[in-house]
Amino acid sequence: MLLERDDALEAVRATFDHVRTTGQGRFVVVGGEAGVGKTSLMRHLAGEWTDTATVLWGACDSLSTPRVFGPLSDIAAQVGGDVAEVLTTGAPREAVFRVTLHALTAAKRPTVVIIEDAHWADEATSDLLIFLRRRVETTSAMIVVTFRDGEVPADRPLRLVLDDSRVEAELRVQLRPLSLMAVTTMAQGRDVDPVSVHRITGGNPFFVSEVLATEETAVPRTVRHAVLARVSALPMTARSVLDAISIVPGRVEMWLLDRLADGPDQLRAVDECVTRGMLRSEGDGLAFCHELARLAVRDAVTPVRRRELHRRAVEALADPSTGAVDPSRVAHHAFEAGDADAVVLHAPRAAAQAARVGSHREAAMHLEHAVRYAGRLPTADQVELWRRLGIERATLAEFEQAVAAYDTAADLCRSSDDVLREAELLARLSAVHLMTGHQVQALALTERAVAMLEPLGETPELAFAIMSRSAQHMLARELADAEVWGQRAIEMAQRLDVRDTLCRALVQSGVALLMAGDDAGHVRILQGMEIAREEGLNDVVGLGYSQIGSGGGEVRRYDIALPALEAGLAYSLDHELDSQGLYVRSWLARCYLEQGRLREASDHCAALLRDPRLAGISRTVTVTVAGRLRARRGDPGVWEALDEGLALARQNGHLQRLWPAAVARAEAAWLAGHLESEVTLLEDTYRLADSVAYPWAVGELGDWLARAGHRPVSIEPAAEPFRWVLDGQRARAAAWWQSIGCQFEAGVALVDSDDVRDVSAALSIFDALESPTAARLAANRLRQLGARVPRGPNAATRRTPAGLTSRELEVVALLAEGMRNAEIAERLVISTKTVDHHVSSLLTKLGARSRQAAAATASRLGLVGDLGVAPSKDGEVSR
Amino acid sequence: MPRYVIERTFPDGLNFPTGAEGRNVASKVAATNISEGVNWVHSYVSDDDRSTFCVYDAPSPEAIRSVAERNGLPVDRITEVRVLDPHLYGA
Repeated sequence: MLLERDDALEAVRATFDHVRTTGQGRFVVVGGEAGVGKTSLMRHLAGEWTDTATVLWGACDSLSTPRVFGPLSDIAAQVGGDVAEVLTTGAPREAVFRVTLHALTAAKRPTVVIIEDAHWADEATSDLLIFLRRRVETTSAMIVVTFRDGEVPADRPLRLVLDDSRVEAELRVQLRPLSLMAVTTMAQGRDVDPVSVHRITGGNPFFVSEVLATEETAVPRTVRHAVLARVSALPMTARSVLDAISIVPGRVEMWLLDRLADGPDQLRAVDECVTRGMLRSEGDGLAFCHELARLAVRDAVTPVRRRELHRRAVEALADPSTGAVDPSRVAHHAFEAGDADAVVLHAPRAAAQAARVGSHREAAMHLEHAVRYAGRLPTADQVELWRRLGIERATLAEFEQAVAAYDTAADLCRSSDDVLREAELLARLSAVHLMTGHQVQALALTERAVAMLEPLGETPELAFAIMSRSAQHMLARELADAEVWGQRAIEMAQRLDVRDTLCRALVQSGVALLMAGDDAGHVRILQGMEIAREEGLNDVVGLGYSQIGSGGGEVRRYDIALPALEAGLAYSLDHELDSQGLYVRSWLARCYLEQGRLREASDHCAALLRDPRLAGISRTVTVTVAGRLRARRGDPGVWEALDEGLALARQNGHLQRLWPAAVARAEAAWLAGHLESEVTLLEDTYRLADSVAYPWAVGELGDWLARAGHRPVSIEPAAEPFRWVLDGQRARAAAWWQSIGCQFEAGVALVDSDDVRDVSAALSIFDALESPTAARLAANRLRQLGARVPRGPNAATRRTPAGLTSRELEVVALLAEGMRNAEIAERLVISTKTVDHHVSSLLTKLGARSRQAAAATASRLGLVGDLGVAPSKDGEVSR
Repeated sequence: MPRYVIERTFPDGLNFPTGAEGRNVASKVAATNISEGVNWVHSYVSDDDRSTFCVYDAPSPEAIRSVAERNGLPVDRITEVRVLDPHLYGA
């Protein structure tokens, strides 16, 4: 009997019916505190669906380190087939994702997949859920995820799934504790005071049922007391077998129970536990009826007994004759048993298994356990463990821990004269120091690595170290050095045929050439990406897109940058390259801003700022773009964003971050009338740019300094449009900016002119871009010159006489060409539903009864046809 | 989450529907808003139906503009605000 769950049951039933009748999949999230009845709810519903659907159960475990793809393994055991195969063969995670998706899409009957306790999900499962959620509508499955709110840290990607809600495609159910009325109903016929029960239990259904199951009249203070009170009523043998089962999270297989129990008496006692409702049978094993009960029992087992039980578990689980050995299960019990030999044997295997499918959090935890006991191992093995731990920590962006691990490994190498290994570690340490803004240290480490390796002749390690050095020079915009070392790396990698290092060297040295204005660099990057594709090095392919986009964008080559960024975004989504995707997307926002495509820039910023994973360089780029966008539009939050951008840029320390931060602040300060406040920062950053003679940085920074009345002495390396303004050729500069689509920059070049025509042109530009702050500056300048200021566009006429938004203008233009809504949706890369909405809004605003009438009215008002409104491509990648 | 006031101008009047249709429109707007973490608190509409002042809770000004575009609503100006309530002072 489920009390006070009618609404929840109805909602989930309705969703299931939708899936069953339309064949269109749905995602359901069920949240609530522990013991509130999430499992009971789903079990109740599953019972209703046995004839119409395939119901599959998977549970995330509360192991100290969860099993990789834990719930999927449970499901694979139920369905077998491709899903089981892809897991046992240890295929890469993309294969696992695709096979699972296919199984859910191709199933003959509707499928209900229930994943329990998602707050414990391992990284691979978490990513699988995100992957499936994006694509659920193409499946014929209802995917239900249960979790305990408040138990998922804010920075986990899974929070996106659990917090975010796209109302149309998802059902979110929140289960609440029971009311006093419900507790009273449950307590009927029992000699307990319902008010006391309700007060102590808080209405928690599990707690209430435990309390009512005891024979006592005094209400236990906590869940733990309630459970233990129940257990104490059982005979000794039953209590012993419960202890044994309690040390295993989740399900205990019968064969495992055989090895944990003390003898046949205990095994027989299992039946009584099941009858009394403490255990239930699950497949080929047993489990506690509730996790809370298991924990209460487990914590009451004496430490000595617990270790003994864990030891038996290790023996049983590590024995290959009982079935395939699951290293993460063995490692868990080995750690709990304090069994050093077992930990050192199984934890590294568990780590390798996790790392292979991208579960870096779990891999790191296993390695932490392993290094705890590693002292007994030979030095080389210890080095390997610390090295792998460093790699996992670096992947997780936990840089301090990564440095500590690499340092320990390097020290051990030194003590055993392992030069090759030590040099490789120095190269890795160097990369980490780069991420934390310690460029000087990073370069020193790379130089040392190269120096150590050169006497040993040409090795893959030396090629890698030289490639790192080239990349570091590129990051610092020391472009000539980047090319010299890049060439060395390419040639050595070719001779040694180390393709991984080769394609990286091609990409990283290629982008340096591109930044130096040489298109051969673009070709070289594409070459590198080709090799990376052949070698299946997805992250290097992604890096290629991102370098063309950011390197090209930085030198105003929007013609190659924008397509690469759009392609890169799609690529990173398809290949689950999360942090690369965020970086590419942040550069898309930047390029769209610079190209005057404010809506696209703004939409990307909005989405990025909501993503909990936005950090590091992606965050630096995004907040700086957002700040600049807000300043131009007159929106709030300008300095909040720009201050954060500067702080992040300083942490990073590279010119490529400090320069955009400085100029964005300069522009915003100029628009607000206090440019002088940014002079010091501009000068410091200018010096940095000048030290590497980087034309675009020197130009832009010098231009702002001149505007502030602090024109630099020498502007020799400045890029052309900036040099022209500094030489007084404003119109020439403006024309050039307009030819590459940078309207705002054209306006900035013109607005300080003494010529009224220039300033009027600037005013028109700023009005068209809807930048009231810049328009105000231009209007003031016109007044200074004694010219008349034309009346500015008011809210109504700034768009159109009919008050259509820019998007509606695009839609009506396509409508007038005779396109149907689906075609319009495809052209604008938005959903048909959104187009429907725009069309109905259009009809209302134009006072039209039909599409034809709307098109005719729009044409009459001059909104289409002659004005040649060209729809711009929406920057968002559709699902 | 910050609170914002959005000023909008409707040259031909807002003409917000009443009754069931109004409820329909309001929930569509709310649904679009939720998808970007935006919450429409309430709006003040001028007597001539041409200006509105809409109070919103949103994660960023960009989110506000994004949902405005999707909902087909104009945005003239966005201001971030703090709530000042005389009742808090016992007045």
